[in-house]
Amino acid sequence: MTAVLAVQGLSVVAGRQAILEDVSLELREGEILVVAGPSGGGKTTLLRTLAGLVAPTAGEVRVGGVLASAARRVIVPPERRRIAMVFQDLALWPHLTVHGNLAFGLAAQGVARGERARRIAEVLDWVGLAGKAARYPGQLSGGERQRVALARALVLEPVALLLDEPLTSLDVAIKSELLDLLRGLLRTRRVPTLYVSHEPREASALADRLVLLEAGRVSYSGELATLAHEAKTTFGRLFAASFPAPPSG
Amino acid sequence: MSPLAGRRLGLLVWAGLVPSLAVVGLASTGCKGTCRPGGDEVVIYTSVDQVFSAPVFWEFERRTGIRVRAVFDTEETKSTGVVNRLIAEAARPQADLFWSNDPVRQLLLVQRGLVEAYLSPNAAGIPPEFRSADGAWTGFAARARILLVNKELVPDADVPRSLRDLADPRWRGRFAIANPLFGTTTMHVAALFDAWGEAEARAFLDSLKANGVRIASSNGEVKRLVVAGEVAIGLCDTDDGNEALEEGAPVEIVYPDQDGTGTLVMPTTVVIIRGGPHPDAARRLVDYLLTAGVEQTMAEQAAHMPLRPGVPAPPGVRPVTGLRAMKVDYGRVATEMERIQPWLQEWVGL
Amino acid sequence: MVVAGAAAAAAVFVLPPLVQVAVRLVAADAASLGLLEHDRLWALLGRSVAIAGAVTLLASFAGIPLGLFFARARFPLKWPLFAVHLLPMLLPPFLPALGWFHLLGRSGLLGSAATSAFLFSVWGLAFVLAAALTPIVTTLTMLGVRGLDPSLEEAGRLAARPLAVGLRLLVPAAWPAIALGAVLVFTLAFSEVGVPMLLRVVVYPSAVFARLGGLSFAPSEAAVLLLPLLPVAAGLFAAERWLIGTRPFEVMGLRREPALPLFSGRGALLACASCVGAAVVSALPFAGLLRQAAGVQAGEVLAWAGSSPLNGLLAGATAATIALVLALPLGHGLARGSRPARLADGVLAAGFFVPSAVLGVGLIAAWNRPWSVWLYGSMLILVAGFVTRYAVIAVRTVAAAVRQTAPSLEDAASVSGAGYVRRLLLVVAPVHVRGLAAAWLLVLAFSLRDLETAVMYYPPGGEPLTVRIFTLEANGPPKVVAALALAHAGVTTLLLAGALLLARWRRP
Repeated sequence: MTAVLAVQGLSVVAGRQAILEDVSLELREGEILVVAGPSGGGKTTLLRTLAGLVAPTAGEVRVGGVLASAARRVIVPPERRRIAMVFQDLALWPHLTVHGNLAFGLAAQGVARGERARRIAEVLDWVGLAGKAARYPGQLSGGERQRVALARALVLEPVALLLDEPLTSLDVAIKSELLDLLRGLLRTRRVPTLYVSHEPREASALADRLVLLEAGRVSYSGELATLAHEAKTTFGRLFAASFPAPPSG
Repeated sequence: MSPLAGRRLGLLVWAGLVPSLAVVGLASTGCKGTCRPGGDEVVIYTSVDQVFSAPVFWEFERRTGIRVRAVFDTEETKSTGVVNRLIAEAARPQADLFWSNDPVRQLLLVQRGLVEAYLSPNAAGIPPEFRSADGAWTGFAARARILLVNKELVPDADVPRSLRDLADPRWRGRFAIANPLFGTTTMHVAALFDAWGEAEARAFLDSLKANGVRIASSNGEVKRLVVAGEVAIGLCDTDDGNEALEEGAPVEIVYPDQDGTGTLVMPTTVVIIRGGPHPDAARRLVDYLLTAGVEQTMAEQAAHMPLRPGVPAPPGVRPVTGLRAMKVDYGRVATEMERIQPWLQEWVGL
Repeated sequence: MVVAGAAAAAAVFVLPPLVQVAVRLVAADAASLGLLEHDRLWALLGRSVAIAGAVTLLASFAGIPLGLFFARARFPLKWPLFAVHLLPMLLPPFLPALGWFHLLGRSGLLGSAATSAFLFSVWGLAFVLAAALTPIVTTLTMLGVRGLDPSLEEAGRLAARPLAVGLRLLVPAAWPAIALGAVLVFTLAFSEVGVPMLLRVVVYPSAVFARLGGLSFAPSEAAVLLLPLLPVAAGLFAAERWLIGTRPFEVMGLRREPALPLFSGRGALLACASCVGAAVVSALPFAGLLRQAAGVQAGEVLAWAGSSPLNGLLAGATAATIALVLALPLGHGLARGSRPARLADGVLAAGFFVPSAVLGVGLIAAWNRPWSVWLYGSMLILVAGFVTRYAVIAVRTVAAAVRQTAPSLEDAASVSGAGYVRRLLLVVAPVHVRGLAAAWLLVLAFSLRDLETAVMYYPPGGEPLTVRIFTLEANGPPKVVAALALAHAGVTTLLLAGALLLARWRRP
């Protein structure tokens, strides 16, 4: 089976600083891959490279087996990759309503108006925002904006979903509520997802597999359960130690 | 805004752009309501003040139905801006005529072969010293160079009678002339070089400098300085002086050197530009400008001195016939103007 | 591709006249080049740079706090005061200068020998120009500060007093806009010809002008005189890159303005007093003009105005629209580091930095051709001239606005499947609609205040109002001239009112 996203020997250098060095990983059909690591480890750059917003310095990115980025080249531009992304700062367009934010990408893909409305209504229903379609981002709460960003990504029916620490800066109650929503949605929809986080709790709640990215290098790649034994770095051991205890029964 | 707004937005951009371009395109034909499409027009560049020349054009338009499109010179670039533009446009003339406010700048065009000779039937009444025999240029309504004296600062007994009085230490730092690189002042200086000879003229100008002459940007500025009392005496043109009088300023106009070399008289002149777009209309406008009526209007409205004997002039405007005019050959003055240019730049300070 | 197209379009406007100037430079003979050996020339250049520098300093010292106050203080009549303060920026400086003359000249309203000596000096020149140009810094500071993420300010207020928050946080954060203002002020002060001539201060550009306007038509000499300006222009470029550069900027938040004004109590009083003072300084010269215009006949004013107000407005609006169409891709590209956009920006900046008189000759030489007669000799030459000279302002304004928002807004559109054009028109343009409107208005305003370029080549019978006032000022009825100046100010005020309404409009 071809991986949905495949990264081989990826390096990104900005100025003289290497942000990613020889990173290889795969995102497979239907799985949730959590990429974790300390701040500044290159997680966001990895996502941006996958999305085609950054050209790699070396290595390649394949989307559905097709070469999408190679050394210093973005071959398939972001708008043709059918990869959706939720940005850390959400990047909701302030001049568009919730409906407008969702409809934007659909219109760009040439989806007919009626079909658009149907899909938007459906996705807003999934994320619990039915009835808020006419609001502007500025009129929503933090949690609601998070849901809009997620809905905006899902409505495109992407081949893969990239989430960049989407739950930071939310309070605990909303965070766990959203985490549940996210897990439910991703499991039922089976959207291949690459989830970037530095939170052990989020990782353990979502991940099928885990990749640790430290100082631009992959320091661990594999099952969550084996991390505790196989971690080679301090961060890896600390991360494993912070997993919440598995629910009893 | 819905995503379809892309189209709407594009429409909006075009909705803004297309009409403004269209309107400008329309306006650019030069027809704005008053003239029929395809109607006659004539293009004139003039260094005669707009306040005086525009009404003359309006009257011409009213009488003939020919629309006059004018480029006026400005105070700052006085008499040289449009000449330069005429030279810059020489390869493809845009103007039909040039109405100069002095009798030498048109010679720059004549020398460069940019002028089409035309002997207007109406030029017959103009004294021959104020027009060229071959019809290359024709002078009419004239001004003169005068001393404008602020009577609140200068008692009757001290009023200067000659240009040379400006070198008198009693006026140290209290008199102004316009920048001699521009306008009628250039011509005046050149005429002095021609009349007095190089050495004497240079010595005179240097004595002005030594006596703290204030150099204004223009003759109008000189007038303003005298009226405002910033200086006691200014060297400027008759029209500036008359304007000061009309404002009710406490000034007196002195025609200098009436008992010596005479006052410099400067007719306005008109030439037809070779290869201009509307040659027939151009000749009609020249004929009109050379009527006695226009000289009279210029005398009444602009205090320009009629050259023709017998044209009525209002009180305060001295007819040229009653004045001792400096004997000048305008052609030689024009040559002199070009020759002394480097020295003048040095004198002004670049 | 679009950026490259816009860059090419920009080059079509700017390069032909510049090439014509360069041709004259190459053709310059030894005698012309000999001009460069005059010590006096370099002394003049030094003086001009010093004056422009002093004007920039004065305008910054006054304009930065004023911009801060107008942006973040609340007091009655703030916006009317702002409009009054802004007015001189939208007029050719020789109009307020004329007003100052009616006030401070020896026989002026407040005049004495001392005030007149001050006015007609280097100091008077710097003061008059600074008074006319300060509103540029004020406006750009205000726009910059209002574009900032409010959380920046709120985070600061937990730690420091309002003035410190304003000067240490908001001003540095809004620096690109402010630096742009300073560069604009320097350039305009440096290239000003009308006011130094009026106040009889010899400056470098008037020397260039003299070479051109003097008796002998000497465009080569004028072009040679441009050479010493190259280091000045290069310095400006360098200063600008250094000051503005590609510093990362605070992201525009989804929230709008902080609920509370930054200045309250005594701070608000100080702000209010400063703003009133600024408005008074701006209004004073118009009081001088008003006194001069008292009792004028409306019919006379209308007759002399003719179609000139319409000419300027039409040409200016068209130029502003074209400049905006260029500025959207170029300004965005500039903010996001596109190479063609930077190139085009450099070319357009050259159009702005070249002294207007020289640019005028270049424009005539470039466009008075058999195949472009539809352009030259029609209103379109005014449009072409305005675009050539002022498009860079639109590009910079758009770039400044785009720099203040997170690229993720566009990235999000990109991963949503939107191509470049769609991103530009549906995300960048609407998000920065106020920046775009400001760019459009700025180009219009600069076109309306333009005198020195338009006067060189306006189409026969099609002069804009500034030129009409300028030509009429020679011996024209002073009342009418003053009234026309005021009418020009009136038209501009209406524009300003529209702009302010626009600035206060905000999306829900």
